[in-house]
Amino acid sequence: MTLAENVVTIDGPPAYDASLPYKVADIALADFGDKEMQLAENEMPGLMAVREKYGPQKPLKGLRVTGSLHMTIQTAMLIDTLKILGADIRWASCNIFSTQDHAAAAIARKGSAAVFAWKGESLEEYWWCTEQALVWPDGSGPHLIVDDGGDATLFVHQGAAVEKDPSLVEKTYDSADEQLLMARLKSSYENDSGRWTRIAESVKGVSEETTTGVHRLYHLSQKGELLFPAFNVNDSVTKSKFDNLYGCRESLADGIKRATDIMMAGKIVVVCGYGDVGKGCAHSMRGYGARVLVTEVDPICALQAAMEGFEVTTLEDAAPVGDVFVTATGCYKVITGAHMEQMKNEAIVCNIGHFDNEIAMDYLDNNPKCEKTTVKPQVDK
Amino acid sequence: MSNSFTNQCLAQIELATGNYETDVYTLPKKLDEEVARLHLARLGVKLSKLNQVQADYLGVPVDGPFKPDHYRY
Repeated sequence: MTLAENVVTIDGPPAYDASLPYKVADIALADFGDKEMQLAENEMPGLMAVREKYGPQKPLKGLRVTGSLHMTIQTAMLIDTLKILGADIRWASCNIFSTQDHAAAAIARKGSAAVFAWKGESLEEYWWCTEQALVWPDGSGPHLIVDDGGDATLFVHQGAAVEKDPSLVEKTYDSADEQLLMARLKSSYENDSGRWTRIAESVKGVSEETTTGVHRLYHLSQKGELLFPAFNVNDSVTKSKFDNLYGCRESLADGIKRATDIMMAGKIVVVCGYGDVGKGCAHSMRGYGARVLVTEVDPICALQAAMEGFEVTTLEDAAPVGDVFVTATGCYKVITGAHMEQMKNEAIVCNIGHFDNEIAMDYLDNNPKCEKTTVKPQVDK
Repeated sequence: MSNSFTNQCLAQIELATGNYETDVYTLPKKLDEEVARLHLARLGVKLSKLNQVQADYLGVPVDGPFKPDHYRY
């Protein structure tokens, strides 16, 4: 595992580094980033209109904003917009593979945000980047958080929880993700046992982008553990009924084809979940001439799929016949090892949900009968 | 992602300028419609407009919000 440069490693996770203005893969990619950002202006009229309408008032002046959101060209446009609104910004990606390095470089070079993101982070680097985005050099935290999947919010909440009950860092956790986050929080607690509680108190609120992150927020709120106000951006109609649906209607095929170059026509594609994202996926695949099977636990969504002419069946029945499997459920271990053992040779399994635990990745990683060959980055056989 | 991120900006402005209790909120429908409105020109959409008689008939303002909160599009 490679660690970021300029990071001092002692025992335990790499330390927070207040001296870094940014950490990106290659600052020389900034010119390319700038060109694509200029082209994005015409594709993002809503953001451009926000700049024009609200920019002069600078409603975010004097406020520190942390972002945990895929560091792409489109996100770079959001960052620049927040900057125009007056914010002081630090940013990390919310996914170890989703950063477009030229976007990160462009933002870093022009100084719109202190950005800590690159494509192909390790999980340890990911949590380091998240902490870099949450803490300013003077030790203060954000007034506002822009979150996608809730990892920045989680970091602050877990940090405060550890400060209330330090024994939490001594437990073992199921996922490497949780394990690594807790290792960071253990270090943090040893350095400053009140940091995250203080930071939580000065957060005015978080705006959460995605279904998975929103579930986490409602869960915290129901337990009475939410520490600051939250806006559920996902459930704006103009978000979930548009980007979740129409965005995925285009990006699923893009992703599968970039990964595998296959034709969809004539293939049996199994879409697990017929929510906003599943709807976009199923209709996209049908448009390419694939034969689409849908799996669903919710009878309303299942009925919607049936009325749109999709066969709705179970994964047990679909596993032996599918050529491509797409998880779009927001749920956990929907495709299991047992399902994968029933699949055709060289069946393609992919996830379009926020977290890849929709697929039993631990079965693939840990089963001694599974042999992994990397075809190219993010594509494994 | 322009829809998503326009919503994000509006939510950030709300949090910055409003005084919210610790809870989970969604943006009001008026702002949701505003996000949609901002994307119409790029796609060459010619939006129709209610006259006052029609607005009164429907029980909505001429400039919206056009649907009740429980409407699911």
